[in-house]
Amino acid sequence: MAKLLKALGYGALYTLLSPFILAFFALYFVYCVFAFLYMAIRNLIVFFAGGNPMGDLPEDVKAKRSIQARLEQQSAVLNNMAQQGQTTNNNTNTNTTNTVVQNFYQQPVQQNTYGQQGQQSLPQGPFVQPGTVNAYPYQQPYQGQIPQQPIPGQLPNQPVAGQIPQQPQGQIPEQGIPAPQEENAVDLDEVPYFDEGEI
Amino acid sequence: MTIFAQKLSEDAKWFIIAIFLIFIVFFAAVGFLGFLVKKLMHWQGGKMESMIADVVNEHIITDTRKLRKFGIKKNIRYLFKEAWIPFSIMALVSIIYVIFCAANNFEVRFFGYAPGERGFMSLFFIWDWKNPEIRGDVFFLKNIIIAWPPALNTPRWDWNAWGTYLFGFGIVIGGLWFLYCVQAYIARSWRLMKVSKKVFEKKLDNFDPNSVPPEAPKPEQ
Repeated sequence: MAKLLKALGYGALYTLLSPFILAFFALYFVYCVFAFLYMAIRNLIVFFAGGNPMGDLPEDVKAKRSIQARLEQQSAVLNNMAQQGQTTNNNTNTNTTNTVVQNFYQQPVQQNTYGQQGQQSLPQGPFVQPGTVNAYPYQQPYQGQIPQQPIPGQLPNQPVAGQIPQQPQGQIPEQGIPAPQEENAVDLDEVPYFDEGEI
Repeated sequence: MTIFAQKLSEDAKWFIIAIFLIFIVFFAAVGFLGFLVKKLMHWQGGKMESMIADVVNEHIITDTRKLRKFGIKKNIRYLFKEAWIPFSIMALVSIIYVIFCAANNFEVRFFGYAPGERGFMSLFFIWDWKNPEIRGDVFFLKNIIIAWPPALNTPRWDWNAWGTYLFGFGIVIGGLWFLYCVQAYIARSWRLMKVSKKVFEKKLDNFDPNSVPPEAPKPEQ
């Protein structure tokens, strides 16, 4: 009912405004006819001049170039990531293949069921289902995948970023002060005692 | 009002009710037609956004005036792309009609309906609205049409008028098609005006005067 009343109201409004609406529409019609004729003549001239009459506007060309550049950048990043992933897979596959060959041909008996012969080669990983072949030795994450290359400007014994520096034994890390050794340790009982009044 | 109603005869009451119902149906039809046209124009205007989206997203155009200029150019180009088919139809049938008229020594009347006139109106009913016998007085209304007029022509197909038929139907189809294109052009222009204002609008509705302004970027050390 509300919709019908709304339609009635709008219908009355449109009827009242119809002369103006029609005049507006007629003006646009005439304008569009002239615009069409102008475009037709312009396109003919451009066409016979050897151009593309419906080609892109300069702004469109700029936008397309910008989009193209961004897409190329994205695809380059994706390619790099894919290449890195491929290298990683190759490394993993090489190790795995060797291990499989060793397991299959050299120690075919070592099928890991807990509590049987294969206990020596039990995986070091978090979980292996009992009864499965130990074909894939456990690896630390990213083990052997990040090449250890010297960083330009790095000192020979300077710790590499991301690695825990291996300090020589007996030294306090990062300070280089020699820590007290066992042989030089002081027995607290042998320390002379002074009363406060004697000082 | 009540006295006026009591004075009216039963026929006059029914006449007024009929007129009232006709008005209601007419307004409702116009209203629903308006809703339909609005929806159609909203759909047609969507094309404008897809035409200007790339240049706005890529920050090629960064102000309202340039966006409108660019949008108008794109709109006219799209109008040409849409309207060349109806224009071609109308141009083609016009050429055929001229040739047809020339072949008949220009003895063709487009709006004629008589057998020898090769007119387009021979396909339609023609009524004699000027006949004085159909006019009369109803209540306070004088000399209005009170009866259906006699038919001067009943629809018939005349093979001798094929050029006129082709021209008539071609112009009607092409014209309506072009009108549709004009409506789409108006819808796109309307959307352009709205969007060009909106996308570069800066609002202060959520502005907090106590908020700390964003830090300026520090120079690299």
